[in-house]
Amino acid sequence: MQSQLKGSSIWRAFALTLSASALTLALCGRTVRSQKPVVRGDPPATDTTGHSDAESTAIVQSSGLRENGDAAALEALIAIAERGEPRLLSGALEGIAQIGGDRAREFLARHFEAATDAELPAFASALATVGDDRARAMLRAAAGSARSATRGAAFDALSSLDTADVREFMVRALNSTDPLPAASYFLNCREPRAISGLEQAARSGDSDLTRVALDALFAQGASAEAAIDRLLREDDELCDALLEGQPPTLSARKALRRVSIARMHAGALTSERVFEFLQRDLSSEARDALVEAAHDPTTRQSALAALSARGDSGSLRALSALANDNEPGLAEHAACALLSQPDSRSQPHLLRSNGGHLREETAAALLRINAPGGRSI
Amino acid sequence: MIQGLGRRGDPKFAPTLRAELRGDRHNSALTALAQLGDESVAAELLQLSRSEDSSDRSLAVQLLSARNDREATHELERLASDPDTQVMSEALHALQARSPELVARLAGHAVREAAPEERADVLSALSDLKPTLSRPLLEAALSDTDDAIAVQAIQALGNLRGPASAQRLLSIANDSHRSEEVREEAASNLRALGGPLVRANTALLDELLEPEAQESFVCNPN
Repeated sequence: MQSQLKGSSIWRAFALTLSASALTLALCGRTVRSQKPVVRGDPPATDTTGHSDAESTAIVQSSGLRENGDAAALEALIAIAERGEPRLLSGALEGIAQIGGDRAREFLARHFEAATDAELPAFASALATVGDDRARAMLRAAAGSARSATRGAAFDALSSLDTADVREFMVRALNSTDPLPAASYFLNCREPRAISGLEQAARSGDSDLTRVALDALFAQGASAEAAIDRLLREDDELCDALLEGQPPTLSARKALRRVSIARMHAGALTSERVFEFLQRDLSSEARDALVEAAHDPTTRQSALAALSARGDSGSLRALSALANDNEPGLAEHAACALLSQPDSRSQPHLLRSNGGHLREETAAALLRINAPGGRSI
Repeated sequence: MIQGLGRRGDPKFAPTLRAELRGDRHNSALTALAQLGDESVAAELLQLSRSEDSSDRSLAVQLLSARNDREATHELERLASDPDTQVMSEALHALQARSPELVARLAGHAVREAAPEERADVLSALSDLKPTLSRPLLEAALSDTDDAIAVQAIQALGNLRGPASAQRLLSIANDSHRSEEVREEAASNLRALGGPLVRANTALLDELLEPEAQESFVCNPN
């Protein structure tokens, strides 16, 4: 069954390549170069290659093809790949890789090093499709190349593989001078041995690397909770970056909430991340912290905006209470926030404040939710 | 054309590019070869990083930063003590993820040892290192006898924000041995941070600063 599937996908790739080839040749108005014939079982759409009927028949009747379809297909695909047509290369290399074997791997390896930057990803991806021990070893070696395009293509290709040696390689690469591609690998792969390297990468100070390393730590689930907890206590910048992510477990969410509220109390916040997190976290502790922050003029706007955007009825009640606060500055800002995203649940709160100094704005909000009490249209 | 060949990223142009290393377009050819990971680059890069021209050394930092070998890191470490402020700063920025302890030491040394007329430039070039590295530099600069340097450090500390900055700014605003200009700058930056420290010290801030202007509020809910 599997070999049938493999066979059919090879033919699909090959037919696609030949179709593209025919199109390219037609567009370029060139004569079709003679290719080694390719057909096994039902012939693919060879007529789209631009061969004449006689040529197609000759191709189909070729004894080499009938007796050893993969080998013939491989040679034909190699010939196409060697032509270096950018539009055909990827399909041809994928076909070569799906056939696999020593000849395919050797062809890919030989041309990989000499490939242009634009071609490298297709060669690396084809080696990953071959995927055997030697192909993986080649990709691991290429990941240490002095040429950055080669390194990038090799890492991208290795990222599609999940084998013990690739995991081991990625764990070690977390301690290299450029751990970003390895950190990216663990966004989709749970590996307890990667946690310490990811924690280290998160501290790098490079914002891209920190972001990816933290997301990868979150992706590790409960096993990374202790590391996340350590990072949260480290510095505000790292904490801000952590607050941007999606905590994977209840315990991680609680840790982020605890730190956010503590930072809110300490004041002099380094960014809006704390407000953004407390806006997403619909707990009552988060709401209470936002209400408290609304009393400080420097955090008022952000806190009220977060309360308004939460949209839960508890936050709506809190905003309504703040709109009636004795401090005029707070009351008018809160009343305004109450008007920013009204829905049917806002109606009683809006009606209560309809007589205040934001009468026109309140009436407009009531009209927006089609509530009685707004002016007639 | 050489830049075009470099952008093409095709190893078969490497011999052409290597030949250009001997000509006027040396740096463009070297950049293109470095992108190709060509082996001839290592020795050339070493030579470039020792050039008398600071723009050459700056290019060397850029090319060395893209390499991940030990020699590149070693050379960057050497350039992190470059006499030219820009080259030194670029090398320190390139190294801050690789060798943070070394960067902390070299950056501190650069600020301390800079000539008085260059200290402001050095501090400005290093203020945007990651906060764990720039904060100690700013701390040291706060004690500078030159008020202009201290004010520059106060502003950078205010931009870093955080409770630690607020606490430090309060201590300067409170320090009667400092000049009025420095104390006012600290008070102004502290007030902008807000938080419990500001609420607890409104009397001090009101003493040092003009009362805050109350902006009239316009509600625009949409």
